[in-house]
Amino acid sequence: MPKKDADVIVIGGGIIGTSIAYQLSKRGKKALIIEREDLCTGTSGSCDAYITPHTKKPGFHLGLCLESMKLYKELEEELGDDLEYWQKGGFQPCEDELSFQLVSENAKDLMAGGLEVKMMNIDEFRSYEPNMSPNLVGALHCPSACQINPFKVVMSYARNLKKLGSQIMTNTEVTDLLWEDGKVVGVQTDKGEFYADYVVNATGCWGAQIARMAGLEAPIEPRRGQIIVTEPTSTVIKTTMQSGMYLVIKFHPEKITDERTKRLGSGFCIEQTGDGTILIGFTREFMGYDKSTTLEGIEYIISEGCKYLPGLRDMHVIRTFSGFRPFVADGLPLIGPVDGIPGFIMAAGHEGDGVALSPITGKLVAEMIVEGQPSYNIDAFSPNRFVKQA
Amino acid sequence: MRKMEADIAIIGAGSAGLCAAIQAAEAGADVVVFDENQLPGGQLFKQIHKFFGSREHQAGVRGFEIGQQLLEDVKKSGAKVMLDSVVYGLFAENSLGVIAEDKYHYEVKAKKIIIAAGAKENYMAFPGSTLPGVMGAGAAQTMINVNRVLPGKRIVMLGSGNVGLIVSYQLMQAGAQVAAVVEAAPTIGGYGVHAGKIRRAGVPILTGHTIKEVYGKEEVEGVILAQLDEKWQMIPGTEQDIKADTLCLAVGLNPMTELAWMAGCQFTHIPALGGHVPLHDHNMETTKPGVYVAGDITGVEEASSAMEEGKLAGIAAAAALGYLSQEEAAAKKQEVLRRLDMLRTGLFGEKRKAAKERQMAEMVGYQAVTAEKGGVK
Repeated sequence: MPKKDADVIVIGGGIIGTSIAYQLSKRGKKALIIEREDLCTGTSGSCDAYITPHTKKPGFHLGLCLESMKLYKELEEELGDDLEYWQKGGFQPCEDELSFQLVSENAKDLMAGGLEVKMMNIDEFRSYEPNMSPNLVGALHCPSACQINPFKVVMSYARNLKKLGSQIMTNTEVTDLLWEDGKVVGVQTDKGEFYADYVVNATGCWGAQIARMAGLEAPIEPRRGQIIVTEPTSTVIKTTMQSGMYLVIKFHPEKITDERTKRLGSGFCIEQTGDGTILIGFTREFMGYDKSTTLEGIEYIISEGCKYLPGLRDMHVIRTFSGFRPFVADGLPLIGPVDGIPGFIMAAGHEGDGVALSPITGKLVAEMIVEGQPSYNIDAFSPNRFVKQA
Repeated sequence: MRKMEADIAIIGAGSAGLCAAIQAAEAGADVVVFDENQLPGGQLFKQIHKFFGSREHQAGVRGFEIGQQLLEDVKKSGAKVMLDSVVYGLFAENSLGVIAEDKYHYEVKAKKIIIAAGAKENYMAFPGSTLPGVMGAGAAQTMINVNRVLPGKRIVMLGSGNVGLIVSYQLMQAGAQVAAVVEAAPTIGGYGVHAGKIRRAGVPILTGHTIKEVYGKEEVEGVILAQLDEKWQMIPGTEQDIKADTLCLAVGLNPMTELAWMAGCQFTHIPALGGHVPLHDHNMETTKPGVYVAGDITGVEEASSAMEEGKLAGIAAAAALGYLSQEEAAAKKQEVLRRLDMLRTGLFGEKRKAAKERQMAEMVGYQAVTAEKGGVK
């Protein structure tokens, strides 16, 4: 192998890639991030900003999220930047008895998994969030849910990892992997070859293409989410909210009967940012890499939104955008080394959990590389579940 | 969501949009024009001054009179004008998202789209620039000429282009006092005839000066000016304090390009035209087939050229739909192009002409490249 350019090459400059590179730098490794466009231009730059443990699958998934949240609590101090971290609590409002029932059942599993949640009837819910519609059935409350600004997180990781001696190359596209004796030793890019001991695939929605270069068929697909943004207003909602329908769509898609919901896969998700704008989302559509917004999608989000938060009718929408979420069929990300592909590590496929799982993913991948073993068991997320046995 | 269909949908009922509508509807096309304002005519109804140029360009006629004529012509042409209707998005397959006057949400499917959204005023930041009383010169002009409200009693105007000069004069006509016109460049930007009127009225035009800051407790109480050296840096010690309750900014305009960006049109950056402008051909068609542009969105010029560009787009779109024969369209276009060419002469016109030629040359370059790649996707 020619001269090493870094200890570890991380492909992808989003909230996962920068977290991994930062955690490696903290442990004395030199990382090189190779990003096709610019930092935070993929999913991390076109998503919501909440961290909601109550929407995770009880078990390993929830466990990992709780570990990540512990890290988020310390992150602003550690990085020395304002990340707009805000533990405001979260609700899961339910529009009908079915979703209330599903959310209630899920609440039991969440509590068994160590998460503090509480089911509330509509009156109790509205004592917290008086602007929500009285026609709803009730809601689940999760006091530990929080919010963060993903742009600030990525930029702060980037600043800190550079301070520690690691590097970032933007506008550089990886076109192939470089091999030596059956081991991945670097990447071929449109700006030349780069070598390192390890190559980490943190390219989210584009993770399948990079994995294919390594010979792994990773079932990661881009799932489009359209989001609308309102003008800044005074505080309308105090917490983050994702409807119970979100849970039904995520874990019980077979129970959806409405054609439009089946097609657009929407569920009401809403948050108000620090500067007063409200983000309302979002659709869940498989459209390849088509990043446009659609009239149908926007209208659907707004009409669903008004059902939950009637005051939306009188607000102005100032912007709409869409982003891709890296969807994986079994709902879990792919994190870790791959059998038969030494030197190659996956860290992609977080779907809607990239923001939430960023700190823990960075920490565990760095531990795997530096110490050979992560401090938290993540066998459930191993990409080996998709390796075809010969 | 309600559905609506049209041959041609036009965004903006200003000089360019109305002229496009008249041409297309007279040719027989089914035309609908949307405008977010409550009155049509765009900027024309604020323009109480007489236009320049030749008789063909209605020289000597006041802007609002041209507007009234256009409205009559639109009515006769049969084009439908929907006011108080916001086109908030341009989507795939020539679909417009519209929140109309009746507050319903419409999906408008059109065979051709003409974006004539106009331009907006540039802003400048300096200490105190967010105080009430700091406003665009265009806003002040709307207040006096449309709403009949005086924005202030004693005004400082920043910018000596035609907008700054004309609005200063109109503010005086409306009863305000103009304390000074301030210009950063070493020479006056606009026509000598406008500057002369102001000078004769006793208003100083301070070239080589800029705004250092605006002060005031709750609103503007005064403006501190400073002189600039040849490197455009403020010279310490040259500050002067001018008492005023309003500062108008006439520091240029930039095209309202949002819908063209959303449609996926290719752009180029030409400072002489106000910034990013969409590429277009001689028919005003952009790189997105079926999407045309006209007026200030294609590069900031004047109402006269906006009207000609509008006509061009209207003729081209109607011809593309078969409402005009090739010969008819060619004859009409030739006539418009001749007038447009005349407008882009003289000291100010030549610069714009060169910029417009560059814009269209880039379009030709773009078309050549995409043709090589197998045509526009």
